[in-house]
Amino acid sequence: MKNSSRREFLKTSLLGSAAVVGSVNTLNAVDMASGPILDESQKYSASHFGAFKAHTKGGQFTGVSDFVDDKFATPMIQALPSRTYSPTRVKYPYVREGYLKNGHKSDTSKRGSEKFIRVSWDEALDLVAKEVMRVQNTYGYKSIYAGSYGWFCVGKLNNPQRLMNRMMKIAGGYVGRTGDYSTGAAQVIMPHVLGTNEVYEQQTSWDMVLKHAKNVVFWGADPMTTNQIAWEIPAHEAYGYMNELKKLSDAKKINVMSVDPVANDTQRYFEGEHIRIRPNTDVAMMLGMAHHLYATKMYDQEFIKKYTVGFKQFEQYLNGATDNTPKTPEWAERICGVSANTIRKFAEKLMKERSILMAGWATQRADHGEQFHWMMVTLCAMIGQIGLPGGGFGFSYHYAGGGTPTADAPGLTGISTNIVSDKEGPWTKYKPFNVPAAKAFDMIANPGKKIQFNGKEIVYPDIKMIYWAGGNPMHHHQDRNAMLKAWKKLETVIVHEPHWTSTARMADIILPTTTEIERNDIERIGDYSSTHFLALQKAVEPVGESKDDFEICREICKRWGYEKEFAENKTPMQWLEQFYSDALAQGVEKNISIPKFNEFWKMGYVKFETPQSAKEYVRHADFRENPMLNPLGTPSGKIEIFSKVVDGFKYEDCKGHPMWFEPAEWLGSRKAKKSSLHLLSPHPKYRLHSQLSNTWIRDLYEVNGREPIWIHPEDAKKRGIKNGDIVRVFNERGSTLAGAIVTNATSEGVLRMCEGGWYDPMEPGKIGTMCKHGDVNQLTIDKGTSSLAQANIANTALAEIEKYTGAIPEITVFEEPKTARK
Amino acid sequence: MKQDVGSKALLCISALLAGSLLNAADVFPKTTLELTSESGEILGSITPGSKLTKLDEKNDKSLVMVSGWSAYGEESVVFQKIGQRVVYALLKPNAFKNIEKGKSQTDDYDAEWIPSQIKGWVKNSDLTSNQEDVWKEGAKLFGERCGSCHQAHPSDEFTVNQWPNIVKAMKDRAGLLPEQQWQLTKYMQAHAKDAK
Repeated sequence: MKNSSRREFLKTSLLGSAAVVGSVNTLNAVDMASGPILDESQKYSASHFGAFKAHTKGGQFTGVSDFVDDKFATPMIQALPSRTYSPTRVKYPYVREGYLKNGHKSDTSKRGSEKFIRVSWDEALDLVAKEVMRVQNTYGYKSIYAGSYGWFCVGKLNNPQRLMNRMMKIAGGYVGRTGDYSTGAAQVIMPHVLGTNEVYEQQTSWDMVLKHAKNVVFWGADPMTTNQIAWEIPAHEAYGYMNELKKLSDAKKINVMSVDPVANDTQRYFEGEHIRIRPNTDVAMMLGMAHHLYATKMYDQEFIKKYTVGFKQFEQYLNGATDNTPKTPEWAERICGVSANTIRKFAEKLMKERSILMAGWATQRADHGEQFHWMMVTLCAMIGQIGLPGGGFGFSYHYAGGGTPTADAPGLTGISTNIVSDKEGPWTKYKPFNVPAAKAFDMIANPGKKIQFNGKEIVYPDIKMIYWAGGNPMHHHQDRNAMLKAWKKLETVIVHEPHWTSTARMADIILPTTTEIERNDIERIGDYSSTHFLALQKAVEPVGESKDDFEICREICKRWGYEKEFAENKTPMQWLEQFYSDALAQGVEKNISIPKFNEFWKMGYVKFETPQSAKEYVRHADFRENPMLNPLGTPSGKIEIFSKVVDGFKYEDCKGHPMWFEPAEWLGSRKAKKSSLHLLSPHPKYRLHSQLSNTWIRDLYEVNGREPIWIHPEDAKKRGIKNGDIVRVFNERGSTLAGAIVTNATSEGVLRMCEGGWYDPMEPGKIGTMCKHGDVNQLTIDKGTSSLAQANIANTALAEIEKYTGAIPEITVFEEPKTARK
Repeated sequence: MKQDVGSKALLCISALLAGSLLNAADVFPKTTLELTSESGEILGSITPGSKLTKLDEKNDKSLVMVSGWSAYGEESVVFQKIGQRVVYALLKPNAFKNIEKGKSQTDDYDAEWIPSQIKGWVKNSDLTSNQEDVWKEGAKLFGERCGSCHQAHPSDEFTVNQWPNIVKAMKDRAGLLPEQQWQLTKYMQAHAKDAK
């Protein structure tokens, strides 16, 4: 009691003083000893892995218990205490030695190898404030890249990207990003075809799927793995539905099928029919199916006529009139490796019974990735079940619980980049300038280069500074060595991070930030289902001298004289109260009863009811019902199998209708030798991208301390590789060590290595050096999908693999880098 | 009929005398407005920012004309232009008889469109002669609501036709009430890539 009241006092005084001065909490920095274990608490908190109760003992985060309404909590929440106290925590502000001495004129080739010097917060913040303004004033806002892609933590206030963008806008602006790495191709092509992005939108409810569907096809999708995480807080209800699906599948009432080069966890759970397809050839297979339905006149001509435009142009391509190549199942077989007979039977099955194709996004993270979803929409239009319960396509079932019904809840807003001020300031002249997310490093490497993007020309500006908050591009971006080369050109790199990620290690100035458990915030549970609002209650004091992103940005703005523009005279708690009050006001209008903020904060969460109507939701049913009253957002108001707009761009690599294009690298390419292997880099089971790689949870999956790589027994035999061997995976772009898993879960010719293993370079900072640990992006290609979307093509890569016979290097990326006191 | 014209002319003259111009002027609803007949029967609604022609004024109400296009076979929605689906008016079946229709035209996709106009009464206080005034609310919503979860997509990233469904898909997450959905949709459409 005594101690908890002391903590309460500390909390209040910190909150109270936050708005007055940048009071630095150095308590934990000098006092690492924990308190008595009976001094305990349980508070609500959350992460991208789910909501939970954070247990503290003696002021430390010691464990978690599942949130009461999360029936399928992921084991990843168990790794959060380990994440909090990992040796990779950045505990103090640091500046790279050479940068501290020479500022922006430092030797940038020393990044990654030079030691970091610990500085005071005041020194770090002064340095950052001065440097941002120097670059703004010398080169203009188009010289600062602040696209800052990444997943950071959850919370409506402590969104580091928004806070940093807000700050950077106040300073005069920045080069931002458009789109993301997840759905970069689909989210650009889908608005042309269906009038909206489809990938981040509610799906036909699982209730309707289970009730009406006869065939459920997972196409390049692994919802069993990927539904564990969400952009907001995952509610995990999808797992309840997947359990139901399993029962129906076992009872032979629903056929669950998978089209994938690999037997992923979803396939292995349902044990249904598995069509093993050659990587990157899905469009060819679908064309073969479409041709069969077309040649036999089985396809739904009524649907095509009433709900689509452009079938005529597509038909010319399908039957070979335009290129003398009819896209027959036999033609498809030669490309995709699936037998013509299987293709025919599969197409007929989908046509004859109620069928839903649940597609993932991995297939569009490939060269010409735009074609995949376009072709699937076209195929489903021919099948004619779009808008029927349990029929058509679904592009978000594997993500954040798509298809779990939406509760009757108000929306919850968060911090934005909207600046409320009567003053004229640097922000008033700023006009947003964004480049496609995956083009960031092509841009940095090639100032002045012109690229096409969705009908527009973009001229790359000359980037001098990167400011990254809450993201780890040294993991997520393709072709690490090309990236390192671009990185060297930058005068200054500033990073906000709680951990010594590969990105933080390559920074000039690193500002340590808190994680959810160390601060107050508010967040929604269920990206799609919106079942609760959760109060994330600060459970422990910040680790080391780390600060909230809000405080860091406020302090920097204060140094420019724009504290008021940034914080609007509100404390963090007042911001949370405002977000909540907005929701409360909507609740009043919508007749949803919601407690007052103080009650909510005390209770920890508020739960919303899910109406029956939400369980009956059928995507595109209104369009099917009346396409004129409920038109799609396309120029024609219908599904555009042929898009005049896309055709009008006159791109060689993305034409007016879906087509098969040869990927830059694939097993059938001229470049591929007989022995070539295709490398896929899907999402990991026990990480969110690179998050949690630095916790004990890696013990559950690593092989000999390296990121696992799946290799088919035949391919392994040819190379003398055995289960558990440390292997070297390589191509002309780079190389990494990995731990071999010899399994027929992957197909012959296909390597599978998850993205997100931390980059641990043999010689830090050196271009071309091998990764010791298992960063798959050593091997991937930095190229746009096409002139249309310019999205990443992570799943298009050939690589070789061999048993590693050299001395086994020690993993060092999970330790603190070299640091020193001034 | 004659009497109607006469009384209108008289009104016009009296208005001129009173110093306010009442012959056809462009006005724009600040919010979603109910459109009623002279007797007060509800004909439908007009969306914020739609261009209306003001024909007359009586007490606290104005007689306005909504002119646009409707898709053949679907009279209930009046859009701004052929193929550009900016909703101007949503009409109830009892209003269909009052629609004045012109000669139909086909768009680039062989769909037929009919010029449609309808007159009705709306509240004066909800009208403005400056369309920019209307967009302020939409601009505010865009700034506050559209960039907190993801990086905001500038209005010129999508087309007039795309915006309504994009806003619709995001409305629950952004916490948009029905009126706010209209304000935001109309603002984004007015500033869309292909806005004319």
